Amino acid sequence: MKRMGRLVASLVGICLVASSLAGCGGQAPSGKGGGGEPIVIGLVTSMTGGQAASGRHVLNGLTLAVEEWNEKGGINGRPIKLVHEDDASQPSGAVNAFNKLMAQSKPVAVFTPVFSNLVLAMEPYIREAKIPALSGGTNPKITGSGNKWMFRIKTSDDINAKLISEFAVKELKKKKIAILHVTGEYGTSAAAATKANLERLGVKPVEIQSYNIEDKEFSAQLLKIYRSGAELVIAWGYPPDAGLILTQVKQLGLPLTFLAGSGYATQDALNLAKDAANGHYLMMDFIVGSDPKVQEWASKVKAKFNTEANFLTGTYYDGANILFRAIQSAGTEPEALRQAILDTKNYEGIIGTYSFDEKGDSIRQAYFAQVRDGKPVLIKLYKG
Amino acid sequence: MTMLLQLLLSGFAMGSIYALVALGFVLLVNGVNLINLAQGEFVMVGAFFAYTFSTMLGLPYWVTILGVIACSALFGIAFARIGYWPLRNAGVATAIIGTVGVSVFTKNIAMNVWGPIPIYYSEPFGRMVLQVGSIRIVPQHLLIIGTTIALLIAVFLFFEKTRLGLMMRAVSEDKSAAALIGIKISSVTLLTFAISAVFGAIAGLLVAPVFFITVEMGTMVGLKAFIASIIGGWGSIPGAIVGGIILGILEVMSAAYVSAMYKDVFAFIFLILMMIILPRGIFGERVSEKV
Repeated sequence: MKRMGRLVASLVGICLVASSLAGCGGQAPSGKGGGGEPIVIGLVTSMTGGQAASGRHVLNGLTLAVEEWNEKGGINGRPIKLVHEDDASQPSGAVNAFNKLMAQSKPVAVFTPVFSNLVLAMEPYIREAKIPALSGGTNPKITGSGNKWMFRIKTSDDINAKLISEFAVKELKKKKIAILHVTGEYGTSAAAATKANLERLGVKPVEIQSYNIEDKEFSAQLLKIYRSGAELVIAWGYPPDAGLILTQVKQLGLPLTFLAGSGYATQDALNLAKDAANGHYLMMDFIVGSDPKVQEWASKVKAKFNTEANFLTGTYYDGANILFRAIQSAGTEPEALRQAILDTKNYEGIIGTYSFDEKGDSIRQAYFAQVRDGKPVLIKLYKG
Repeated sequence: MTMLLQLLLSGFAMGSIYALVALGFVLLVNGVNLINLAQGEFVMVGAFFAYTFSTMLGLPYWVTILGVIACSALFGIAFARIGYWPLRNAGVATAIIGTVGVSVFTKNIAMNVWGPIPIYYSEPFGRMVLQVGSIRIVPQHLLIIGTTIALLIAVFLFFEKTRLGLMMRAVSEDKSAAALIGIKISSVTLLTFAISAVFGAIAGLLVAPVFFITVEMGTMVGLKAFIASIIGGWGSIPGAIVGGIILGILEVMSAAYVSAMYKDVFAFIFLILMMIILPRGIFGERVSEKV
C-alpha cells in the first residue's frame, strides 16, 4: 500500500509539473487601456509541441495589435484583454484549450490555431459557443463547413493551389511538374487541389511523393522525383522539413527547382536551408516589400519580440485589427459582431486587402518570389 | 544502380544514427534494467548543449565536445537522482512512467530555455559534400558511422574487460546480490545514467547538422532506437547496432520502392514479424531466464 501511495504521489507530482509547464495559459500584458470593463479576446495557439514556433508568431501578432489599441485607449474606452491557451499542437489539446477559455474567460471572440486539423477539431465547439472565431488555417473545409461563426483571415488552400499552378504553368512555363507534400490534412488536401488545378491547365504531374511529419530523410522521394524528369517541384510542407528537404536536394546534387508554399516561405525555413534555398521559387502570404507601412511594422515586430515578422505575425495582427474595428462599430453582442466582421470590405492590412464573402473567406492572393542570396525577391503578386 | 547505392548509403547513415542512440538505450537496459523512454531527450539536450557552446559562446569544436560530455553527464546524474532513484523499488512499470515524466519535463524546459524555432547547426564540416564517382557522400554521415563503431568497441570492452563494467552488469542482474558482495549500487546506477546520457548527447551533437536542432528532434529517434534494440535483441549491444542499421535501410528502401507514406508502417510490420519469428532478436540470448 505504501508503495502504491508513493507511486500515485510521484505520478501526481509529475503531472502537476508537466501541466504547469505545458498546459498553462497566460495573459498578455494589456498596456494602458481605457477605464471600463475589459473586452476579453481568446486565443488558442500552439505554445508547446511540434508547432510551437508557429504558435509564438501568432501570439506576437495578436499581442502587438492589442497593445497598440490599448495605448490608444482601447475600444470605445474599454481595454482589451488577450487570454491565450496552449493547444500543445494536438487536436484534442485545441478542443480542451477552447473549452477552458469559454468556461473561465468568456471571450467575445476567439482566434484559432494555424493548423487546420486543430481548427477542424475545434469547429463543432465554436458552432455551439456561438461566438465569432477568426482562423489562419488554410484548409478549405474550415469555412466550407457551413459554420457561420467561422472566419478565415488567410488565403485558403484551394486558392493557393490555383495560384501556384497558374504561376508554374503560365509564368514559369513548366510542363513537367512533380508534387512533394507532407501527409496529414493540410499537405494531402493541398496536393490534391494542386493536381486538379494543374490538370485543368493541361499539365499532368509526372510524379507525386509524400512524407510524414517527423521524417528527416528524404533521399528516396527526391531521387524518384529526379528520375521522373521533373523540371519543377511544387511542394507543401512545414518549416523544419522544408529546410531539410532543400538542404538534401543540394547535398544530393539534384538539379531540381522548387516552387513551394507556406512552410517553405518562412524565415525559419530559409534560415535552415541557407544557400540551399537559392534559386527556388516561393509562394508567400507576406513579403516585406517596398511599402513603408509594412517596413515600419516589420521593424517594430523585430524590435519588440526579437524575431523576424512572418506571415503569421501579419495575419493575426491584421485579424486582430479587423476584429477590434468590428467591435468598435457593433459592440460585443455576438450576432451583431458577426455581421460587422462579415461587412468588412477592402480593409488594407499588413498582408493585403481583406473583404469577407458570405462563406467567411476574406483574402485571396499570393506573392511569388525567387530566393536570391538567401532572400526572397518579389516577382509578382497574384490575386485569385 | 546509382540510385540504389545512394539510397543504401542514406539508409546506412540513418541506421547509424538509430544505432548510436540505441547504444545509450541498451546501456540503461543492461546496467539498471530500465526502459528509458526519455532516451531521445538525451539526444535533444546534447544538440542544444552543442549549439550553446559552439554557436552562442563561439567556442572551438573540441571544447564543445568536452562541454557537451560534461553537461550531459550532469544531466544524466540529475535524471537518475530525481527521475529514477525514488522510483527504483516501485516496480518496472513505475520506473518507465517516471522516464516519460522526465521526457515531458525536459522538452518543456528546453522549449523555455532555447525556444521553439528550429536551429541551424553545421559543425564541424559546414556544408561540405564529397563526390565519389556518381555517389554523393555527406562527411557528417561518415563521422556518425565512425563514432558509432568506435563507441561500440569501447562499450564492448568496458562491459567485458573492466571491473566497473562487470559491476554494472552485476547490479543489473541482481541488485541485492551485488550489494551483498560490496558493490555500491547508488554510485553504479548514477554512473550508468551518466554514460547513457553522454552517449545520447554525442548522438545529438552528431545529428544536429543532419536533423537541425528542435525540441522534438529526439522523440522520433528515441522511438526508433527502442525498435532497433528489439529487432537486434533485447539488451544486446551488437544487436542495437545491427537493429538500427537494418531499420534505417528498411525505411529508405520501403520509401523508395513501396510507399513513402507507409514507411513507418513497414518498420512496425517488420518489428512485429521479428517478434514472432525471432522473439529474442537477432543477437538475443537463446537461454531462457532463470525463474
